[in-house]
Amino acid sequence: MKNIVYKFIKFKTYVQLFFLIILNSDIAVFVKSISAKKAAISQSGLKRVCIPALNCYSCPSAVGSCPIGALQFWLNDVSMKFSLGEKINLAGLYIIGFLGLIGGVGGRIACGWICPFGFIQDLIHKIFKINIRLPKFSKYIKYITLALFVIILPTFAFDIALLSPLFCKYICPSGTLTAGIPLLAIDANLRETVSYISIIKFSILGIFIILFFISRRSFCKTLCPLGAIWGLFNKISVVKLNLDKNRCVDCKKCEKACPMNIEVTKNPNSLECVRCFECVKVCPTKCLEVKI
Amino acid sequence: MRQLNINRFPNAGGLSVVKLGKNHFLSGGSGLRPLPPLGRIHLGGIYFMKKNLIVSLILVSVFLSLLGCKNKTPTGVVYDPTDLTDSDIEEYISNKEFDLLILNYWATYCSPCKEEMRDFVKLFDKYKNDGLLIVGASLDSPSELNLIKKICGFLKINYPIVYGIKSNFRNIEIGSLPKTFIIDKNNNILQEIDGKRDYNFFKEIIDKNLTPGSTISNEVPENIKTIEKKYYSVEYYSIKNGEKYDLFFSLKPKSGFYLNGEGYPTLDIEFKLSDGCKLSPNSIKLNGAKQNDGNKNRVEIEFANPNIKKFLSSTITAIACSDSQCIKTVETADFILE
Repeated sequence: MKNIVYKFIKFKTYVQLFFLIILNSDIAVFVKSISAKKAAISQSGLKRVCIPALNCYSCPSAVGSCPIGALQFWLNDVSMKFSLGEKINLAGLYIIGFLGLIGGVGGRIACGWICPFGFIQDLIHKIFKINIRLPKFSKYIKYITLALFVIILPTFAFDIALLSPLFCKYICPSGTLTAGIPLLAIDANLRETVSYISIIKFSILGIFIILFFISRRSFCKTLCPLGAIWGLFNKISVVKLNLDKNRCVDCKKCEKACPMNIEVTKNPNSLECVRCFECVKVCPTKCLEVKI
Repeated sequence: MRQLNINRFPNAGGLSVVKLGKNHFLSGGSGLRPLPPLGRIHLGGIYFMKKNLIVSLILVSVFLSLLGCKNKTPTGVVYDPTDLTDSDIEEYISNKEFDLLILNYWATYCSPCKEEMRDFVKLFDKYKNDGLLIVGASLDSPSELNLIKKICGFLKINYPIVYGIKSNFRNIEIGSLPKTFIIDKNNNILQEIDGKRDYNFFKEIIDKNLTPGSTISNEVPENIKTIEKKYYSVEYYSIKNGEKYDLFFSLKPKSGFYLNGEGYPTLDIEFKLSDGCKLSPNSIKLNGAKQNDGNKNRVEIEFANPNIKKFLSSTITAIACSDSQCIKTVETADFILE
């Protein structure tokens, strides 16, 4: 059992690459968009399904919808319909169910194995192997972002004409990188609409690109609301890390290998763990194992 | 917060408290039993004071109770988009009179669209007497009629809203919302706009394509003629434009009456074609707003034979309503052109 798991871990990069491609596989739309010089987004039926990653719905070739975006839209819709006395659409609860399902299975495993934005950060680290520890308070920013921009503000905007997905609109650097830049590059008309919002978003992306080179997975550590939700499942997920304290010799190799700068020996299933299993790979005494 | 350790806890009934790592255990009797840490709750790697947690829970529930607050529905008239039709957009706009049309595709779930519509309301107010028409085509399904009406009421929409059921217009795909088409009076698309734009952007387009008042000339000649009919009078004048004539006319209801009230949306003016006469358009359907607010209507006439008397007959079918009743009137009106 252990051996199979170790072999699987070796292929992690390929799995991440596979998901990067498959989650952005609607190339036909991308090509059509480029040739028509007009921004286009895939309208396939699969767009109704949430994907377990922070891959923006608006990327021209994206398949499926980002669950954070879907959640904000659904909360907007519920709020608008409620304040106008219309029937509320409860079908959106499936989004929460989906998040709970993935979280229950592996906690933040989708962060480590599926999310293309996380993959990009990992790739950068393969070349620039610096991973400084970010200040302790920074990991709480993602919970504040989740509460404020994803849940509270999209629900409680007091003007139905201004209800919008605020995290996607003002913050998400994944959206800026994978969707904003390609669409602006393709469509000249869209470039005319660039305003202060774009300046905010590009600044945030700029800050993170710099951070990517000095601290691995800095976005995942500080800002990602999706990671925040799944992190809460880390202690109770089916796939977990198990630390055999008797075999641990405190060599701290796991902590050096950990992209999220977790003190693995103290807190193996911390809320920050993205289940990349790098610690499992490097542990000399094999005291860390993946437990199902 | 006090830390419990063996030394300070009184030895009661053979029990003692043992601290192992972060946890406290009650030992004695049948073995170790875990005790929750005193007054502290462990959540997500942080210790919270119990009372802090209770306070924040209270705050959260207060916040959530805000969910009970409904948005104040605006007082005043809820816009009833009587023009909301499911007929083909093309057919709809071909029946409309305008010098410039802004055809805006939107949806109830699109917030930039709703923001933009606020600007359209202001623009329509400003330019509706200069020949501007704005039509909002919603891509919602017809089952969302109530929601559409409520949102239009909230935004105080003053221009017609229709269903744009097919998400393409003249085979141009509506890929994203809002999408706006600028259409001239000959039904040609002047511009196609993707995404939200602001008030000044549209104002520039309007100023470029719309001249206030007449599209040919702004002057109002002194020789306005009046044809008196029973329930209304027809005021008109004509301007010679090379070999063609432009006839401008408007219908003014007599006091106590209005033309084409509730439920009678059109007024028909049919022009009689005489020999060698080319008329554009040769019959006019006017909706209520067009002939009640003194708007000038324009007909272009080309006479093949320059020697014939410049004379245009028309039959006007209208519903004249007073407070108590509505009467259908059919009258002839003869326009003499100079």
